[in-house]
Amino acid sequence: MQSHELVFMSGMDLADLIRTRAVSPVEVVSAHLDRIDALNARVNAFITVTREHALARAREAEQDIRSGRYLGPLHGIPYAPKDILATAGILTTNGSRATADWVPEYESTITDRLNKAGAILIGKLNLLEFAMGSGTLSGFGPTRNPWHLDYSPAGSSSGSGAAVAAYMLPLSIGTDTGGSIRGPAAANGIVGLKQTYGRVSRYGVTTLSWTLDHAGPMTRTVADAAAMLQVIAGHDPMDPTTAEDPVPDYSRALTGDVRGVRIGVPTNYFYEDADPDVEASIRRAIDLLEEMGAIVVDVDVPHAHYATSAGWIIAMSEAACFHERRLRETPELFDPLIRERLEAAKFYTATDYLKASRVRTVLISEMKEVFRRCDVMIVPGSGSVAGLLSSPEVAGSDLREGREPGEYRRGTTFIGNMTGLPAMTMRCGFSSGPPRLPVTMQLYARPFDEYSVFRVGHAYQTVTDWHEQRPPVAEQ
Amino acid sequence: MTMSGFKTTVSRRVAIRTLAFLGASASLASRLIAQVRQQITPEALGQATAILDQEFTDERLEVIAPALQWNLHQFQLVRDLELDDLVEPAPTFRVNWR
Repeated sequence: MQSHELVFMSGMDLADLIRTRAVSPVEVVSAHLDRIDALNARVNAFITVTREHALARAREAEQDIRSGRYLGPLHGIPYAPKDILATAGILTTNGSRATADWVPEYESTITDRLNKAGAILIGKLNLLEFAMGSGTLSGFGPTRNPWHLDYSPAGSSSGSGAAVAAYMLPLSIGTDTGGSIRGPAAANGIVGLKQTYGRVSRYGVTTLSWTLDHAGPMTRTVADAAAMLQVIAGHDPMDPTTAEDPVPDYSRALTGDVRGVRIGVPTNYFYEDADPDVEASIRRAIDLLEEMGAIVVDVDVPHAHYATSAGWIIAMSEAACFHERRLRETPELFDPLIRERLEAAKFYTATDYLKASRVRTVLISEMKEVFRRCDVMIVPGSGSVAGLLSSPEVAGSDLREGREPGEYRRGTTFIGNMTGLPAMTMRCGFSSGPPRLPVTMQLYARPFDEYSVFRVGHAYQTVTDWHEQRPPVAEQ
Repeated sequence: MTMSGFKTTVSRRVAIRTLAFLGASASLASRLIAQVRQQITPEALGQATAILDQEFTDERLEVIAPALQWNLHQFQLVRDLELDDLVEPAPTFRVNWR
């Protein structure tokens, strides 16, 4: 097999080759490092590439596997986290000039578990500063969308989304406080999973909002996302919000069978502002799942339109509290957009925060009703395809000529953070273009039922090839 | 109001609907309502910084005031929502010494 062909394989396909010793981890890691060398100047997905570290780990993995010490499906597979996960001894910038030189002495639980499972850290990925900046004005420059380099990969896990879409690596980790895994997954047309709050430890992930933050897998296939979650899920004494519930064997969900699964399709809010291309693609995906034996039912989330406004109050209030000292002592080091948002949030009231928290209770109650009627709810990953990258002139402020506040607060993702429910975004088509850009759907499920999300998502990928179509930059 | 339901206040919505009925688009009606509400000025924010125990330069207050105004306009949706007394905040206090 040609080494450049390795980069087009999924993590689990590579795992089969490594397990059977058809290829070595050194070959796999080298192929991806070459790929990063070839593309990163254009895509700007990586802030740091840990070439020597990765090759050393790959040689160790090769030796271990040759000696019969195979650790499992992630052994020898390259991965990279968003550069907001602490990696001991390795630069962790948070995408910010305020922490541009930070080399943590501790390891995040997620990267620790991935490393112990044999996955090989190949670098650290670009992001919007502290997971909420403009992406254009930070010290590390904007990541670009592999489907069209003038377009935005969305954020805040911009590098995680673009790197996976450009076949620079098969597995990445993003973080999601209001949609920052699923937004880039939508813009780049990959799989992005925000699992249930408490399913995965947040230890070592720089905080944006204590009660809304999640960190989870970003991959090209559902099977890869399931394999990653298998390793990173579970209770962590370092994060008291992690659940003690046992972690199921997610590989058992990958059957291709959706017979009898009840799929809920909301009749309010979620599809109201969707582009025609987006809605048509998702309706076709739902029809296909129905043909495969799923049962489609109508559902309703009456207060869904409150999720983003209330979520924003919570996220920015908690972020302003977390960054209080930095904001007071070195405000000039923040991206202008973040500084504007955090300084404005200093004036939000405690009653606004608590009111927003009560809205969470309402939303949780309504979603509980939804999941009495269905097992998985399908909504757009995003109502529209990726947009053009903002120019520096407009990136530094939420206030823009002709922009309505309501436009900014719409969305299909924040309700997942507000309720803590698992949600996975995945490609289900393309816009008619030009340019031709990915369209995605988003699958929600009950708390701790990532299993159903994987079941439906994997079944869809077994009968479609949307996830195998490559962006132009990947063919160069 | 019942103790089991969630209800939205109607006054602002009725106003928007009335304006819409009179020919204003929904977004225009929303803007008109927002303009009637008191505007946040940099000077007013400067006074409020005493409550925050934090100082901002005049230049920063010029940036923050419209940003805050813009956000509060959006938050009005949440402020207008009437909730039943039984609806508690989602993350409730829990003693956990284990």
